[in-house]
Formats: sequence, structure tokens, C-alpha cells
Amino acid sequence: MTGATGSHRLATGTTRSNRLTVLGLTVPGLIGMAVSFLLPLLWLLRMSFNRGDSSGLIEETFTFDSYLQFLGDSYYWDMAWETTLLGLGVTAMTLVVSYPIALFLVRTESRFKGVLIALAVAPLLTSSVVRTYGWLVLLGNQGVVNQALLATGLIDGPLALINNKLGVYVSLVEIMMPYMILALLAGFGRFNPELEHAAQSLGANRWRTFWRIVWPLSMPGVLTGALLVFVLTISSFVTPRLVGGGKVFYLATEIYDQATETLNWPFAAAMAFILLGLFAIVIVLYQRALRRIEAQ
Amino acid sequence: MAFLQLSNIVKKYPGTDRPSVADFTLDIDKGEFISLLGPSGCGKTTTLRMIAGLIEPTSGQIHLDGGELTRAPVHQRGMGLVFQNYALFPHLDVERNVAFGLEMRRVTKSEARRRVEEALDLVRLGHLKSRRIKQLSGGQQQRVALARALVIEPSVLLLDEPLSNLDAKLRDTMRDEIRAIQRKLGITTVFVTHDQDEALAVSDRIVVMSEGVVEQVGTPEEIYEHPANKFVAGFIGRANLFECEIKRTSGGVAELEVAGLGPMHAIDDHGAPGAATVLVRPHRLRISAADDDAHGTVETVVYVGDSIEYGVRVGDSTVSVQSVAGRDGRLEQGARVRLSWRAEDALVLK
Repeated sequence: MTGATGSHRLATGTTRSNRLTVLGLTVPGLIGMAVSFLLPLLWLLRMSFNRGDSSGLIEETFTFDSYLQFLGDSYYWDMAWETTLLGLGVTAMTLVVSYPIALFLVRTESRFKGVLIALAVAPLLTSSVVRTYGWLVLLGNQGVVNQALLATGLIDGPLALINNKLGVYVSLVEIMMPYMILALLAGFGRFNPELEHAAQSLGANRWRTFWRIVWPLSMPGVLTGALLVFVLTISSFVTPRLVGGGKVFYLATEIYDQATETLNWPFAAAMAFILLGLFAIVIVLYQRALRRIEAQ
Repeated sequence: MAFLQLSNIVKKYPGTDRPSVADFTLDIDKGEFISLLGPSGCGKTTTLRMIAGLIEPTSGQIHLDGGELTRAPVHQRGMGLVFQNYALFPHLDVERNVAFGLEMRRVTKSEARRRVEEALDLVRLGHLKSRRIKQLSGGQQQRVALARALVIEPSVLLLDEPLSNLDAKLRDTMRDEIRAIQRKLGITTVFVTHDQDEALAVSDRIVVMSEGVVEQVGTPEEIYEHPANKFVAGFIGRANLFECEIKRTSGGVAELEVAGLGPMHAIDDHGAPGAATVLVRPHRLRISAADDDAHGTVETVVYVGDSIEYGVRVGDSTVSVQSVAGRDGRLEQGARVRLSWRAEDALVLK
């Protein structure tokens, strides 16, 4: 966000050489984006209007068949709904577990603050594929959690912790936490511990201080984190596929299956654009909410 | 009995060898304006925050109006706090900032509106009540902070360096305004500052602190005219301190032998002969041209309108003299001069 407004300010600056500098600096990036993102996306859009079948043959034409196939089948509607729920659920849970950590990191006066922040986001150094396998090791039938519970005699047989939605939610929440923590930390800009003291001196207990002062001031970070996690969650397919064990179905995993197994590229492309539509809706909602907060 | 009583307050942070506040005892009367004055790190802010409840004392007691509140939580103390950085809530407008404390007290909407209006009128900001905080200047923000603290009708008003983020001119105006409001409301006030002029101008009594220790408590006149020790003398106002030897004392006046100046007289409350320090303020020193019996040489001459400030070299040290321009004539740099003072203008410090 800041980068965008910053360059906007520069672009509307008065001097001509300024404008040329901005142009010169942005062109390489724009070309890169166009070649690596925009062109493939246009190609994908074109593909979504072709006709495909389960044999993998693609008929070059212009039809809405793939979109109609998706929209006419309640199976896919359910999948879109499940995907949205997954996005909302993981976002909410990630927020709940990340918020206290971020708040602690903002407030702490420890000289290890920098180290602690680095540790909180350190999981980003590992690929999410690796971390997903980590969860398989933890949650599997022979996994650490089940073995421990069996050993203590709390359960008789292993709990089903993977190959179902539970496992997908748990592992996604953990994988998304660093993103949420980073966004919250960045969004706490206007927060200052003195504000909490001021609220308390005016008669607010801890609970009311939190809900009336801390929470509203953290909203920019909460919104940014929520957007980021939601988008990453509904587009993630490695974790749902591996931890879900092919038994839970979301849009992203289905797109992958259609593209690589069924080889119905037009249908996969159409689903990709439907998912993109979902992103667009969320981003519009995010922008609206952000504008409402910034108007305050 | 005192309204606000601080008894033997100590704050010692673990891992430090010297307490931040050592054995602070003070009785504050209702309606009194007390300043805690000292250089940074002297413990004045820590003391204020212990009164507010933001910092828990290591030992000692705080009583307010007869009741003990040493360990009462901040939100139950009902004290008004104004912070150096204002600490206004950036997501609320002026009116809702001021109304915050009333909302917490579940005051009815109509009464809250009336009281917020009153408080904003008191600080002359009634016309800005729907402004956003970031649309206000520093001085206006400070007024909002003051209104927000006053609207809850606090038992005590605590001001933590409220003027130090304002520019010089505004600072004087705000200082006088705070004092006027305090007088009008008769509210007991503790004011933390590192600025001696501020403290002298507004306080009923000043508590001078240094390194966690109270050096002196007294009215501005007492602190200025009768500093208890060298620290207070040097910190409040400008001071010339001369090493001297007390020959004898009678009737509260000591006969001294001052290094570089010879025999002199000064007020002495202690009455014991021996080595001492004598304090003479620059404007109490008299300076006159001299030839063979001169004490020193004029090193610097600074004309500042109302007065002329001389730096006079006496032996190894420089003595500041402030003389009224036009009245005492003008001495040039390099002039040989004699210094003198009246006995009642000098004070022996132990």
C-alpha cells in the first residue's frame, strides 16, 4: 500500500525529470510482470473458453461450456463454499492464535525484541511443503500426537487427525501464522503503550482498554493479515492435498487435478478464473473496510 | 491531615544497585500545585507514575484522602493524567476522546455531552470538538489531553512534562493557562518538569530531586533564595559558588575568607566555622572598575537588552555578573574589576 501511494505522489510531482525517473524505475518491473504474469493470465483466460473433454483433447473454439459446467453442478458449488469456509475459518483461527503473539512483540521492551520477531517469522524460511510433511509426521496414525495419547492411555485407538478437514485446518493455521504476525506487526503503527495507560487512567479496565483502544488501532493490521491469509489459504493446494490425503476437495486441489490428471485444461482454467473472482470480491471488501477505518 | 500522602516510597528495579526513587516522603494539601523538578533520570516521572498506579512501588505507602491506594489498579484511582506525548486516541475525534472517561463511568449520554462541552470550553476548544486528532496542532492536542483528564473530575491531576513538546512561546501560554485552570478548579496537581522556570512560575511548592533523592522541598522563593545545598543552588537559577572559610558567625551572619576575593560577609544558618561554599546569584553581585586592589579581569561582555552579563576571571574560575544596563555603567573587556556583595545577598551552603 505504502509503495503505491509513494510512487503516486512522485508521479504527480511537478518536474518532468522526476516523472521520467519514475517511469524508468517502474518499466523493468512492469515488463517483468507483463511477461511472467499478465500474458500467461490472458492465455489462461483464452484457454477457459476452449472446449475440453476427459480424453485430454482441447478443441479451439469460443464457448462458455466450462463455466456453465461449473455453475450448473451443485458439487462444484459445494466445493466453492467449502473453499470459502476454509479461507474464513483458517483466517479467523490464525488471527486468534497470532494476535497475542503480535501484541506481545509490539509491547515488549526486551532487548531481544528483534530476535523474537525474527523467530516468529522464521518458519517462512522453510518451504510450506516441508512444514506440511512435518504435520503429517505429527498428526499421522503413527504420529507423535497419537503415539503420545496412546501411551498415556487416554485413547484406545489412533485418532483420525489427517486425511480429513481437521488436519488441513490445523496445518494451514500454523503455516499461515508468520504472515499474519508480520501483517499485524506492520499494522500496529499507530499503537503506543502510553495509549493503554491513558485509557486505564480514565477508568478503563484491561478488557475495555483492549476492545476500545488496542483492537480498533490494530484494525489495519488485522485486515491486511486477514486478506493475506485468506488469499493464501484458498489458493493453497499442497497442504490440503497432502494432509487431506485426496479425501477433502477444495477449488485449488480440484484445479490441480483437472489440469494434471484429467487433463481438462479449459475446465481447470475456468475454475482458476472463478477462484480469481473470489479473490476480487475479497479484495473489494478489504478496500472498503480499509477506507472506512482510514476515514476515522 | 494531608490530602495526598506519600510515605517512604521506594522504587528499585531488579538488577540495579541504586534505587530510581529512594525514600520519597511528601504530604500534599488539597488544591496544592506541586512540581517535581530535576534533571532527567532523577526519578520525578517514576514518582508520578507510582502516584498514578502505572508503576508499583517497591515499598512505601500512598494515601489519598485518608484511604490507602498503594496497590490499587490504575483504572480505580480516578486520577487525571496528562502525558508528554499527549497519548490521545488517534481513532477517536476530539469529543469522543474527552468523553472516553465518562463512558467508562457509565455517565448518561446527555450529561456526558454537557460535561464534555464544559471541559472543552475550559480549554477554549469548544469549536473543534468534531476534529480528528491528527488535524490538531501540538498545543491544541495538549488542551484536548487536559480536557480529557479534567472531565472525569479527578481527585488529583498528574502532569508528566506536559509542555516539553511545545515551542517556547506556546509553552509559556499553556503554562499560565494550566495554572489558571488549576486555581479555578482548586484541583490538587502534581506537575513533573525538568524546566526550573516552569516550576518557579506555577508551583505552590517545588520538590527538587536528583538521582532518586529529594534534595529540597519548598516554595519557589525558598528554593531560589535559600537552596538547601549546592545541587539545588546550581540547578535552580544561575549561581556563583565560591569556596570559602568561615571565620566566625554571629547573629546569622558569617565572616568569610573567600578564595580570590578576600574577607566577605554572608547569611549563615549553620553557624559552624570551617570550610564552606557561599552562593551569590549573578544579579546580586556588584562590579566596579578598580586598579591595584582588583579581584579579576572582565573576560566576556554580553549585552542582552535589559542587562549586561559579564564573565569575570577570578583566579582559575569565571564568575558571572549580571548588571542592569544603563544603571551601573558599562565595563569593557579586559577591564580590571572588584567584586562585592551585601551580606544579605549571599548564602553559606554546607
